[in-house]
Amino acid sequence: MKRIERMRWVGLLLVLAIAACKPDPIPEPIDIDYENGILLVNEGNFLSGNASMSFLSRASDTVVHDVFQAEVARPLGDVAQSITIIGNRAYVVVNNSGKVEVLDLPKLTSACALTGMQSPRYLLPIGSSRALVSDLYSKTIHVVDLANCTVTGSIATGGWTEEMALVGNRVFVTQTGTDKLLVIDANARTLTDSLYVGREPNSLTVDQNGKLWVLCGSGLGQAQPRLVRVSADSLALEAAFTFPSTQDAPSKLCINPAGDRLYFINGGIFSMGIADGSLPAQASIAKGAHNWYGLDIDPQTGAIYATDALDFQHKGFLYRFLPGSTTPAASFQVGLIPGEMVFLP
Amino acid sequence: MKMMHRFAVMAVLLVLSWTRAFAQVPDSVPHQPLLDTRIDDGAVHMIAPMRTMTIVETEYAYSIKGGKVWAADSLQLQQAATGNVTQVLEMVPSMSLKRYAPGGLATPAFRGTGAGHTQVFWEGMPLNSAMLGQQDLALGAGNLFAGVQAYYGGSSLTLGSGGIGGAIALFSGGHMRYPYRRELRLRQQFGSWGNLGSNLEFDISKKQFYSSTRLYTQTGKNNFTFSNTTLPGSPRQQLANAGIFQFGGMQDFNFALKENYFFAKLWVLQSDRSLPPTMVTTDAGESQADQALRGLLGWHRPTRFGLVSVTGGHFMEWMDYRNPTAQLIAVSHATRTIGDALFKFDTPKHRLGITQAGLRYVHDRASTDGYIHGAQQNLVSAMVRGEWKARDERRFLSLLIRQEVYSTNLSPILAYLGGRFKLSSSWNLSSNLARNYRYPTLNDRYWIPGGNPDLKPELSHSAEMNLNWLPRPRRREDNRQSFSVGGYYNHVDDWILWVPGTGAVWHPENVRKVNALGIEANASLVGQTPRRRLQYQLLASYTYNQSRDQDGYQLIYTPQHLAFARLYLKWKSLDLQYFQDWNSRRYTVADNSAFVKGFTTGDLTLGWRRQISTRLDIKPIPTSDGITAIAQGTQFKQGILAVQVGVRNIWNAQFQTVAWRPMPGRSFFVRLEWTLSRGERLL
Repeated sequence: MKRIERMRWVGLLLVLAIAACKPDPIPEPIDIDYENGILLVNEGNFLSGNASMSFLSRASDTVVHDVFQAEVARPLGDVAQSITIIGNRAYVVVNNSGKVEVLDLPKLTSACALTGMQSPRYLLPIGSSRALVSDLYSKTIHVVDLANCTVTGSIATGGWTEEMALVGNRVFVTQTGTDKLLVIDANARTLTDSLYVGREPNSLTVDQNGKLWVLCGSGLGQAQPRLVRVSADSLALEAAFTFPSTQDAPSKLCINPAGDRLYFINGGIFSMGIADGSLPAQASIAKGAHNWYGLDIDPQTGAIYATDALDFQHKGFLYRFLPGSTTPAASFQVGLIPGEMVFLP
Repeated sequence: MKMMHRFAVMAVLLVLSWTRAFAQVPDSVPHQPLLDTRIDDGAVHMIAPMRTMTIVETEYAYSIKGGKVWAADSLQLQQAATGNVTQVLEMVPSMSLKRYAPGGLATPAFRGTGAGHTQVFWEGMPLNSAMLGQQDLALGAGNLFAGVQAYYGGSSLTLGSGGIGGAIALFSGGHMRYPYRRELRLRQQFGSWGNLGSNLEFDISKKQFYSSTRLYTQTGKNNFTFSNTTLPGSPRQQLANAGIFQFGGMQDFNFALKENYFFAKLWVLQSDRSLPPTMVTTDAGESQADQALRGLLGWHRPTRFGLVSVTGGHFMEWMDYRNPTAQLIAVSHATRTIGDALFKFDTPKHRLGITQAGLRYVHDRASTDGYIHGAQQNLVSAMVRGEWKARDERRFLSLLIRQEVYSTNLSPILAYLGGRFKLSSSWNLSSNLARNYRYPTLNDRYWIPGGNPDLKPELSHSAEMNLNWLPRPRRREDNRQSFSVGGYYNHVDDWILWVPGTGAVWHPENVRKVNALGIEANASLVGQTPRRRLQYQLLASYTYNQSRDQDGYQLIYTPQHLAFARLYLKWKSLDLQYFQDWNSRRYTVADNSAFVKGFTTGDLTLGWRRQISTRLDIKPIPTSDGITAIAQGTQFKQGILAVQVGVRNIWNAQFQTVAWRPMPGRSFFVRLEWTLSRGERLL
């Protein structure tokens, strides 16, 4: 009987020991050149610190997951908002970590990190050694010295700034949260003007004629969204297309390599010629069960790449659509909440 | 119509139960204590009666045959006296705690369910926030409670609905064992990182009156250092913006007038907490202030048929969250009004009988920027409970039925069927089947934007079985051992999740199905060496939990393996306690692609306790449960001085329970306690 009692204790200890001994997986090293492909940032969940990067190789048409962790040996941070290529470096803006990770290509090694920002969103190069970084909370745009990897100054904006575009010597900035498009002198790095475009401008692009297109999402059903065309020279509002419903929530405006066809997400994925007289009535690519979240056009092939964030809780997918096609040519599982991407030559 | 029909059935059952009550005329009417408190007579350090995992049919306030109940022992309560109640709950088997920082938000989860599936009750009254559906246990100061109990799975239906995983019952306690007594207790703790905890406690009882006052303050900078593994070179960093300041208290009045027993309880708390950044975010200077004022008034009366209890309560709570970086201020205010009537029938001599019937009304009202015009809801809950026992008193069955109406929605019929079967003098088998639900929170239904008023409640069907070995010692000096092993299964349908919708507006939907199954094993050994030179206690617990969604993924923040062991030794005036826990990894993403590593921590405490003055003819008398008591019928005056020194996380483990939120490494504390009591003992 005593033996049985002893066995009971031994059994319990064994169960505990087995439970405690399962090892954590060791990440496998990667040895590739990050070129001729797509670098994609996966935002990850807010406050969860699970942002990541994926790489889609054009050559092999396969995805390498979590490349930042693999190459830099630490997590990327909290909410990877955007990525920009300048020369042989990739600049990854990690919004809620208040930093920009600077990575050398093609090996994707860590060069430095720009810190000291509150809530950076997008980075835009102005000249060979400077860039601007928009910010959600700081009410400023940060001026960055790329050569020394430092934040050297700021431009007061008074609110939340998002996407930016450089046309000539002017930087155009969407000021989400208001109804304005800000204009900054790229040389003087001062705010020179602002113009009304529509409620909550969230994205912009430049067409083949040098015209600015600005998409105003209007935010959570408060007003009808608008797509407007602005002259980069005169700053005149040349055209405005109003969406039919306050429930429309367009975002992620981008343009094809020829610069004559616009794309944006509004549930489904819509496309519109720059000369069209009205907004498209039907989606080019249906929403279906997708949660389209990121959108961009391959400058080499014109293929449309769209990300599906699913329920924001599971790893999402990157879809490739050939121009004019409504069905995906390929799909790849990527990371959590895939968003912005850049195309590497 | 369906609603009317069901309530008609419940009404008939209630009437039948009352009729039944008046048909019973017991031989005597015991004036039963409302709560079994264990730490009031200066015998906290006596280890013999320490109760740990116990399987039902004890004096636990809401136990039910076939259900599983856990109660904190005096050591656990004492350890948490200058902290908060989460320090007690660390030792609840099968429960995982999600903690964001020392003193920060802490939520419990039973058996692989969520924080909202653990209902918290104070003196039997529901505490969970109507807005969020959960309760932050870091706001429950440890010295306020004389009893902390955990009710697993279906057995939580005895307290109320919604405890799909289980329920935690907090009792401020109080009793009138002394005709005259005064006791003053001061407690002061000094800990690492500026942590200070102070308690002032004063009890007075005089014939039919008993008053208990509990006051506390807690402060701490919590600016410990940790290795930030997210930065190049993993530099040591100091946790920023993690300070806390909390104070509050509880006043408990009890008054007996003939056979009427009245009580009034008041619980006040103020908490100001800075919210630290994660390892991957910048410090936004966030802060949260919480205030609560909770009051209960009650009346109990033993009758010829049983005990009648009527309780009324009103709770008011405020929360103020600020994020200066985002220029965000979120303020909310919630009130709850409760009326509760419960009839506990005397244990029936009959083999079959209704043992309890109850009716509860809860009105919640809340206002916040997220609601347009505020929100409110009503809950009416009716409960009937019956028991059957075999003539040989080896087989017992319990049936509980609860029917609720929340707002204008009729709940499904909630039921519990449990049984206990004695297999031998040492072995018994207990089992239960239960159906429970959790109705949507106010935020789920009314938050703008996204609130979904058409949500269905989450529905749970659960089953469990436990084999228990509880040999009775032949002699009082013999070692006591116990062992239990069991399994559970819980299927939750219509689990509510917030999912993205059109235009990036999230909204809640009944989208998830969860199957949770697990194995639990618990063991204890309590004994002493010859001549009682050394007394010892060893506890061990292990839980395996598999809690999967419909896609087969383990739910986030639900570890598969949980275990702990505690060793307690007492020699003369000295005692030593060592606690070690093991936690397996916790997934942090729904597709299990990321996780926080498993961890193990150990705590060591050394104590010295001395009764420094004693007067008169005190003669130790062992009570029925083994606690050494003061001799009856004598006047006494005594002072007790106790000192404890401890090391928490003695192996300096670097761990997180929430991703990228570092928890403290090794820390130290010294606790001084001085008790002065004077009085005379009844009997």
